[in-house]
Amino acid sequence: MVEAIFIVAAVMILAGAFGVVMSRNTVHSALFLVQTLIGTALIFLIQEAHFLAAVQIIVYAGAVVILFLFVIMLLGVDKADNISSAKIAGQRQTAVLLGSVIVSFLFAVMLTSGMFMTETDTSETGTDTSWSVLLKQERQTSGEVDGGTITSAASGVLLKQERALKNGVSETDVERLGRILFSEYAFAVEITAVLLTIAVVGAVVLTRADRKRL
Amino acid sequence: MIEIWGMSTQWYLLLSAALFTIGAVGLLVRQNLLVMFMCVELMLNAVNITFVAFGMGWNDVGGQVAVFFVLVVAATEVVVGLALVVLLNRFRVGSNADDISLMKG
Repeated sequence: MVEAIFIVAAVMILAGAFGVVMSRNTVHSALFLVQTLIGTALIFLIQEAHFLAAVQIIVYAGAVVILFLFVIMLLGVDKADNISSAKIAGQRQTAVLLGSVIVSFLFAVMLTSGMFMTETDTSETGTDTSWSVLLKQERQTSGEVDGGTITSAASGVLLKQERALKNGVSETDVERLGRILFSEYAFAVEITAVLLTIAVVGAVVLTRADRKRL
Repeated sequence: MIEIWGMSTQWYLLLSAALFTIGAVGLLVRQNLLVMFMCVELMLNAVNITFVAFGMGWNDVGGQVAVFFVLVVAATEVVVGLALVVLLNRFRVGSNADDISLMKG
């Protein structure tokens, strides 16, 4: 079930991202962006990040994309954009080259960190520094504390039970996030408020109508 | 391998890598400032997926805290960036990144 939702969300996200980049009309790009954001909210939901899924819909799809559409319609820049006419020579070729460099770097990091090794592979090679082995050890020790060993087949269910026991059964994801935001990260939240105020004041100052000169 | 409800983290990371790459290539290919901002949003979303996946994998809520702050920064970035686009349009420059040459002097 989770796999099916993941596949649907991944297809939504990637198709929307391609639509953002490919479509000539700016309004279509914004609407494809909404599709990508809703797919991301689905990904958050199946990872039990309920608060972030709601915020993703409300803030991103509700506020940011609406702001984009506001500016597009206000300025009347929604006429067809000529993608093929690049003023910089070889811009598209350079972009594709840099994209393939990024992809190869990401895959190289994933491969060297032992992420695609199975459990038997890591035990055979014995790379103790890879983080999957470290996590396995940590999980084994935590399982020993609880008085049981965690097999890899039932680790998902057991991890959830362990989490529920550790944090109290009634505590949801929203409560955990709220507690840590307003205790450990309280100062960062305050700084966030200052940042938002500065952004609003900056936007108003920039776009003020009665300015005399730049 | 870390498993989230029977699905390992590597699939989320692969999706995130693909989304980040599409956003980066789009940022480099397109000349419309608004579409370039949307591509930046795509890249930020890719990073958010990574944060949540690792946060769930390590059973730590800190990943979601990071996503919360990334959301705030993305919102402020859009506000200031779109104000700049409106300002450029007022000076008849348009929203094409290649036409912005005010700094040339």
